[in-house]
Amino acid sequence: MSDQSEDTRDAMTVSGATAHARSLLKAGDDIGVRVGEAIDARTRAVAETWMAVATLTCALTLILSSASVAAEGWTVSPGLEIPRLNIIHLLLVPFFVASMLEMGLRDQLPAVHTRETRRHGRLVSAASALALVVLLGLSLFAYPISMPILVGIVALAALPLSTLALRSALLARAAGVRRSAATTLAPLSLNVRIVTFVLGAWLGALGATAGLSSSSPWSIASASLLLAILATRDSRWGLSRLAQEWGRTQWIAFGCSFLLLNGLAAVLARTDWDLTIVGFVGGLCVAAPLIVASFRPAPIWEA
Amino acid sequence: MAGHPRHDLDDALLTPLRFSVMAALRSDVEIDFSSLRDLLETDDSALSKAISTLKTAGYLVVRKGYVGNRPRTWLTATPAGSAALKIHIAALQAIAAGMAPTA
Repeated sequence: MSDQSEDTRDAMTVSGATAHARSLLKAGDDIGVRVGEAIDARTRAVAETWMAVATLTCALTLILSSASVAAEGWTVSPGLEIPRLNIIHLLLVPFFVASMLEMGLRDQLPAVHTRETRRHGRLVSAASALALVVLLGLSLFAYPISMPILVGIVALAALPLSTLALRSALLARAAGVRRSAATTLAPLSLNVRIVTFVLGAWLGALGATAGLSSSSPWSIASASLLLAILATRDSRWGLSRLAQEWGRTQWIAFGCSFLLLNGLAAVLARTDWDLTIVGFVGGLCVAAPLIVASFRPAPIWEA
Repeated sequence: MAGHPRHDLDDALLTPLRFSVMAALRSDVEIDFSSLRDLLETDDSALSKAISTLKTAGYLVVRKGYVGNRPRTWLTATPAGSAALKIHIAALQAIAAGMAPTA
């Protein structure tokens, strides 16, 4: 071994050994924190990209499911056979769940929670939410609007989040630090497995009942479940816990269920088929990914 | 064997730079050469020497890859490297705590 190594070993035997060992340990911890920050940046980029895609999908589906494009502009289709609130319910519930999951994921990234990034994130989310609310209002009140303005509103909804996601992705890519493949896979904890299963069944039921002409009792039950999710957000039964434990399989499954629900909303609003059957089949397809994923293991990385 | 915790220190990790390299790689991550150099605030030459020593000891693996068109050298700790780092850190902690010789 080199002289430098011998010197270091000798340093451990003399009176300054304690201080030397402490300084080495502190240096090691500091580096660990910086590596953790770089990994968190990648996770944040993925979460922001996901929310940008979810927002864009939701905005586009809102238009597809409730609008008809005529020569004079965009208007809400008359004579839909199912209540418009069912469609909106179908779109907003998964979007709300996605937002809660994304918040849960962000909460476990302390390194990226500076005051500036938090403020920036809130501004961007508010801009996107405002554009979505405008679209929602136009859809509900059947206000005619020209196509360029409509496209502009969709862009306003998706652009801020997309820009944020792109910036984070570029930063994360430049960081040159990435998590290697996990060596251990373990089943989800019991409470997370149950909540994942219930979430899948709930979203599936949401799709299955959306085609019914009268689904008020179910809508009330669904809204109650939504409130329960809000109330238990930070508990061990909450969505934050899901976001912490879920692996790639569960996230992909949720993404599939989310996109299928959006697709179902558009189909239900436009198809001539039997809406009850379309809703039921769609609901099964929506529920299946999350229910299956609740029994799949998730990766565990050594701390 | 009874003795001072310094006997548990790993020769390959005795320099601050080599110790820092393994500390950066310990949490199941892959880091590319230039990012590691920036994280550790060192230069290419010193880092290359440290990596060479750790590689010879079997504590890390070096993998060449690309991000876009740019070549990158990725570094990952081996299980033996992670285990050695744990023992080394335990010895440092014992020394830092001013512990008596271990039994």
